Amino acid sequence: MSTVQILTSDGQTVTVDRKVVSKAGVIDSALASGAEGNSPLKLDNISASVLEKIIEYLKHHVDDQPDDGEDSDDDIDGPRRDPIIDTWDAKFIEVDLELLYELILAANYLDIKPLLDLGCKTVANMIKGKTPEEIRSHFNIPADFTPEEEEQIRLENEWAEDR
Amino acid sequence: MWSLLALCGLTALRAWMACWDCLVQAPLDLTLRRLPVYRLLRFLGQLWSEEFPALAPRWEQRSPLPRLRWRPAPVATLPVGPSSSGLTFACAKPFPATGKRVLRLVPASKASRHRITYRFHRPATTIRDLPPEVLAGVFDHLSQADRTRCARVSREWHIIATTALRGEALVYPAVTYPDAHWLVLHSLYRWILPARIHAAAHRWLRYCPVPWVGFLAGLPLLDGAGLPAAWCLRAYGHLVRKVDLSPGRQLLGDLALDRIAHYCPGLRDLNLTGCTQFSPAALRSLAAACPRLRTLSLSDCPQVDDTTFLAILAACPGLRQLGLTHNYRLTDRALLTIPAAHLRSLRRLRLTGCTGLTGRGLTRLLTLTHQLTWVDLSHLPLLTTPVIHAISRSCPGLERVSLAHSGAGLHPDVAHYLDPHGRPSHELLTYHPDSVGDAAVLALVTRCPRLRVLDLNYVHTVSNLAVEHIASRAHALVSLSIVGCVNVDHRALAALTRLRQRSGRLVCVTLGDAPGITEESIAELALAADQAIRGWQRSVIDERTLASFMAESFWT
Repeated sequence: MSTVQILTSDGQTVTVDRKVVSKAGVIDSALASGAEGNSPLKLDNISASVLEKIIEYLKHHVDDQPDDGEDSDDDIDGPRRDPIIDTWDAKFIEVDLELLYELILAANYLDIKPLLDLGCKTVANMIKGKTPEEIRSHFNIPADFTPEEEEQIRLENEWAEDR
Repeated sequence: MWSLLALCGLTALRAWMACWDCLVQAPLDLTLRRLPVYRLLRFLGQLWSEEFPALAPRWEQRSPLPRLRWRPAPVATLPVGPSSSGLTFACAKPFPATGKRVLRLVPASKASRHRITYRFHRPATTIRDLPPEVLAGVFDHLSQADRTRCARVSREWHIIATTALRGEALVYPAVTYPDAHWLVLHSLYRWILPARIHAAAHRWLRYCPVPWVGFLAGLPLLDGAGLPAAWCLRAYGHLVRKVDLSPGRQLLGDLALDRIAHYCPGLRDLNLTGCTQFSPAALRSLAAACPRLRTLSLSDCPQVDDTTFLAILAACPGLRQLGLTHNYRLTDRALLTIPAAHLRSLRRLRLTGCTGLTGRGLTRLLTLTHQLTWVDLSHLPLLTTPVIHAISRSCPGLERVSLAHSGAGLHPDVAHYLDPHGRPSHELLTYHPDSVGDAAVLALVTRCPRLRVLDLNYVHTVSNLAVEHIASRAHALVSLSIVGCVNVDHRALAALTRLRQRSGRLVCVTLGDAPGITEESIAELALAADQAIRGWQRSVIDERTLASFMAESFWT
């Protein structure tokens, strides 16, 4: 089986099976567009640790069927609100917040839809049921509203709730 | 003696250097640190630095690179806590070669200022680094209540999570205005009334059944182009994904389309059902400005012609749903010249009542689309069997097909056979050789195993044989309509009940308006020896209800 060399942002070279990484849309198209030869594929904004984690994910899901048709249906019928996460996935995504964000960013960059979805679901599960103040303290977000804006947003939400 | 003096001088010099070094936070030998003179000088140095704070943070003003010749303190002992930019990153490696780690000298605490300490900071990835579309993906998994709470977290989150912009479509307020003069008045009101009254009035108007009452109350609803001012397209337009303009169909013209094209480049779903006021050129420029359009409903927009149709498909390569109901200006010329690549992503297509299309153009169109799951070919008078063969061959994933009222135009003298109610009489038995019949239905159910909903209302050439085919092969079928098929009688229902027993999926059969299906025949079937229709219930359903169901569920 052919392998692919990937050069990460911190200068390490990682060798993986082509079949495994072809799940990532960006890498797949880069390989398909004729970037063969021995020069490694350069991923400027993904570090080795994140890439290792992503490869672990891809290896586990290498035999999954690409659910293209179903996916498109979901897109058409609106957002998917299914909060259920597979057991292995749940264990996989039990990482600290920073690595979680980096995984999401990398999945977004590499176009790995199921991983991006998993990350989004995990963050959504953290948000669920929290008040705005709790969300701010959990994700370390400063409140940048002026009091007038705060008041206006409160009014707007009131309007949205009884709509 | 001299040597003693020299030693003292040297010590003094060394101490002064130590004091100086103390000011710049340099480490010293442990032996020197114990000297009382050094302690005194260090104390004075601290006083100095506290007295003149402008001079104190020299270790921070200074470039960190020259300091690196000293051995850093062990980092593991450093206090690591949340910094202003999220998590602090402590690194055991002294000098990271690459990456975005930033080396900073940080005074660990006031008491140990004499020691030099290094902390390796890296701008940690926080939730604020996630791009808006990813955050929007997160909010998609949340309920309405959670999203409302998220909107109160920060400005950026407010924009992304605001329910009107995310998830739900921007739906034009369902009010009608008699004429365009009121528009001008509206745009005037917008400048006069403050935002809070605006919001309250908007809310009130949604429940106001009489539009002019709301209007006289001074509602600054619309901007100059006739779009609701509350949509704030100028500010948040780039986040808008879904717009439904069909309730404002009498009102909206080219200006509104231009504005949407200008402010909403990321638009994905657009419903223009019944909007007859805009020009084809405006629609073409909108399609060019919004290349990510996936759903476009142009039903009942008769101004859409061949050129516009081709331009839209060329500009939006990702178009998945296209509704073209009653666009009689659309002709075969467009379908025969369309490049195959522009049709690749189409999933749902409605061509109801496009009377300008003939079998030739439709055959080419449907041969080129391979991913169709829905197709509505109802009310196409010139629909032929080759079209059905083409579609069943090229789109094996079809799930919903409607052929209702199609093929009637193939009979040149069909009007002669219609009764006063517009229904075909039973004498209409000499069929056009190409008309959609049992063979077409057989091809459809054989080649499309995922067929779930099939609508054959008033396709006069369909007979019991077609229903037998359906009963023996369409194992995924959920709903079938065969109203007005004059050649179908009550035995069809018996065949379909067998399908129900075998597949377990068929839940709805709509039939009637045919001489072979009467109350007596159904009663006879119920009394038959095998009691085929036991467990089935009758319900009265209007044929029009099914059609509107198809139309509504197209635009979700």
